[in-house]
Amino acid sequence: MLRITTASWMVIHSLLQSFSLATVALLLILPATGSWAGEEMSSGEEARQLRELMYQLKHRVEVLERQQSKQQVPIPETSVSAPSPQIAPKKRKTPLPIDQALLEPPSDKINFSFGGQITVETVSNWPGNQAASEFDLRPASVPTGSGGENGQFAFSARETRLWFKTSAMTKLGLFKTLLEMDFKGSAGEERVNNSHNPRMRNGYAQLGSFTIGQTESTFANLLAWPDTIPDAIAYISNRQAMIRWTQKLDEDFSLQIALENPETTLTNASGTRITPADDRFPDLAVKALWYTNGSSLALSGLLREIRSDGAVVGGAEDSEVGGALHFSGRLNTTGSDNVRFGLAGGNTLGRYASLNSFNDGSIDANGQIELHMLYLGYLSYQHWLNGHWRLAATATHIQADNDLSRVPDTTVEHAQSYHLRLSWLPLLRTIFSLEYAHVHSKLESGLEGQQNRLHFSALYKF
Amino acid sequence: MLNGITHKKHFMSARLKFGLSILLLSLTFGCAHKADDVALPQLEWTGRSAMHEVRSAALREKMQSLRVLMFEDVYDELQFDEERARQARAIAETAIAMAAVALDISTAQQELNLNADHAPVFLNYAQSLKNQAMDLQEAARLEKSDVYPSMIRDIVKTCNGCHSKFRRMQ
Repeated sequence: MLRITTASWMVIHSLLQSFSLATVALLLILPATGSWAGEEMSSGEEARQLRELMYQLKHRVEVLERQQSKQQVPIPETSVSAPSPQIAPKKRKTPLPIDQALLEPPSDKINFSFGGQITVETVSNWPGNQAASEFDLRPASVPTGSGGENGQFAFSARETRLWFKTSAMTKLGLFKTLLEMDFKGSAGEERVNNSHNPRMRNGYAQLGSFTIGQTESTFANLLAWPDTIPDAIAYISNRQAMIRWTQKLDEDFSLQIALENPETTLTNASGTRITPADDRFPDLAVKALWYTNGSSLALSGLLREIRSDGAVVGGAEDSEVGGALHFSGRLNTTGSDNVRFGLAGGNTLGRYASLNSFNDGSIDANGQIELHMLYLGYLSYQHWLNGHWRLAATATHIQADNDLSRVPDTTVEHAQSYHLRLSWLPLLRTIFSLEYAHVHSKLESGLEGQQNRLHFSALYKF
Repeated sequence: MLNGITHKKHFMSARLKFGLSILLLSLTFGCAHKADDVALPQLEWTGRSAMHEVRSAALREKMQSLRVLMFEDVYDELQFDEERARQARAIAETAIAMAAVALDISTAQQELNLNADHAPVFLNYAQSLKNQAMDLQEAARLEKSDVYPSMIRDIVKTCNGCHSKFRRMQ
C-alpha cells in the first residue's frame, strides 16, 4: 500500500508540474513543426517537398558557382612575388562578431532609384460643375437641375509624380522602401503660375512579409483597376497608413492581413458630412490573391467600427460594427487583351469607394448611428489593336441604400459611368490617351443629371 | 435634368462629332502604325518540334505580358517591381524548360540530325540559354527590374542564334 507522505507529495507535484509544462510546450511546438497528427504529411508529399528543396539548392549552387567563376580574376605575376622587407606586416585586427544584416557585397548594399512621370491632362465637360474639380469624376459633382456650364476647357499637370525607392537583400528577405508624391495637394491659382502643392501618395517600407507605412489599402486591388484616365465613378481605393502581413502560401497564392487607419464618415440630417475623429480600433482588412497564367483574382474583406463621440451630438456616444466584401480580378482573354472587373458591397464601404462619395452611415439628432449598404461594380475590357495602340471600354455603377428618414433627398442614390479610351503607346514608357466618358447620376429625390466629357492625357515615365 | 439633356443634344450635334472624328482618325493611324519596337526583340526561326513550338509560343506570350505591364499606369513602383519579377520569373522558367529539352542531346540529335561537329555547338547554345535563364531567375528573385531587358535580350539573341544555325539544316 502506498502512503502519501509530504516528500512523495512534493515529488508527485513536481512531476505533474513538469508534465503540464511539457504538454503546453508540445501544444505550442507541434503545430509549428507540422507534426500534428492530423496534418501528418503523406510520403508522396514529403518526397515532393524534398525534391523541390533539392531543386532549389541545386539552382542556388549553380548560380553561386557561375557568379564565383565570373569574379575569378587571373592573378598577376607580381602579386606572387615576395613582400618587400621594408614594409612591416600590418597587425591583424580581431574581427568583431557583428551580425551583418545585409547579405549583399558592400559596394552593392542598398540600391537607390529615383524616377517619376510627367503628366499633362486636358478636359472638357458638357456640362461642367463649377463647385467641383473639372478633372475628377464624382457622383455628387454631376450637375443636376439647371446647374452646369458647357464646354469649359482646362489643362493640368497635377498628376505629375516623383518617387524615390531603395532595396536591399537582408537575412529577413528583401527590404524595400518607396516614397512617392504628386502635385494634387492643394490647387494653385489658375490665373498665375499654377503653383500646385505636392502631397504624399505612398510612403512605405516592406521587409520580408511586413509592410508598414502609407500605401493602397489591402481592401483594394490595383491589379484589377479599370482602364480609364480619370478615376471612374465606381471603384475601390484608399491610400492610408497601415501595418500589413503578407503570407505566401505558394508562388501563385498569397494572403494579406492588415490593420489600417480608421476614420468614420457619417451623414447628418441636413446632408452634411460628419467626421467624429473618435475611432478606437483600426480597420481590419484581409485579402486573398491568386495568380494563374497571367490572370489574377482577389477576394478582400473589411471589418470596421464606426463610432461617434459626444462632441457630435451633446454627450451622446454610439458605435456600430460592420463589414464589406470585394471580389475583383483581371483575366487575360486573347493575345494581350484582358478584362478587369470588380464587385463590392457592404455597410462600411463608405470611404473605401469612389473617393468617399458616400458616407459609412448616418447619424440622427440623438447621436445614434445607422450603417447604410453600398454596392458597386465595374467591368472594363482592354483590347490591343496592335503593339502601339489599345482601346478600352469601361462601365461602372455605384448604388447606396440610404435611409430617407435620416438623410435628405438630395443624397445621391446611384451613379453610372461609361468610358471609351483610346491609347497610343509610341515608346515603352509613353502613353497618349483620349477618352470619352458619359456619367449619369440620380438623387434620392428622383432628380437626375448627366455629364459628357472629353479627356486627353499625355504621360511619360522616367 | 432637362437642361442636361439639352446640353447633351447640343454636344452630340457638334462637338461629339468632332471628337468621334478624331477618334476614328486615331484608329486609322493606329492600325497603320509600323514603328519599330526597340524594347524587346522578337523571336525568329522557331523550331519544328511540337513541344519546342509550344514553349516558344509561351515564351513570346510571356515577353509580351512583360511589355504590356510597362503601360500600366496605376501601380506604384514597388508593385511594378513585384509584377515585373513575376513576369521575369515566368520567362526564366519557360526558358529553363526549353534548355533542359535541348540539353537532352540524344533527343536533339534525333530531331535535328546533328553530326559530331554540330552537336557541341548546339549543346553550347542550350547551355548558354540555361545559364542566361537562371541569371534572369536570380535577378527576379532579387527584384532587380532594371536588368531584365538586357537579360531577356541576351536570351532572345541565344534563341535566334541557335535557330539561324539549326533551323536551316532541316
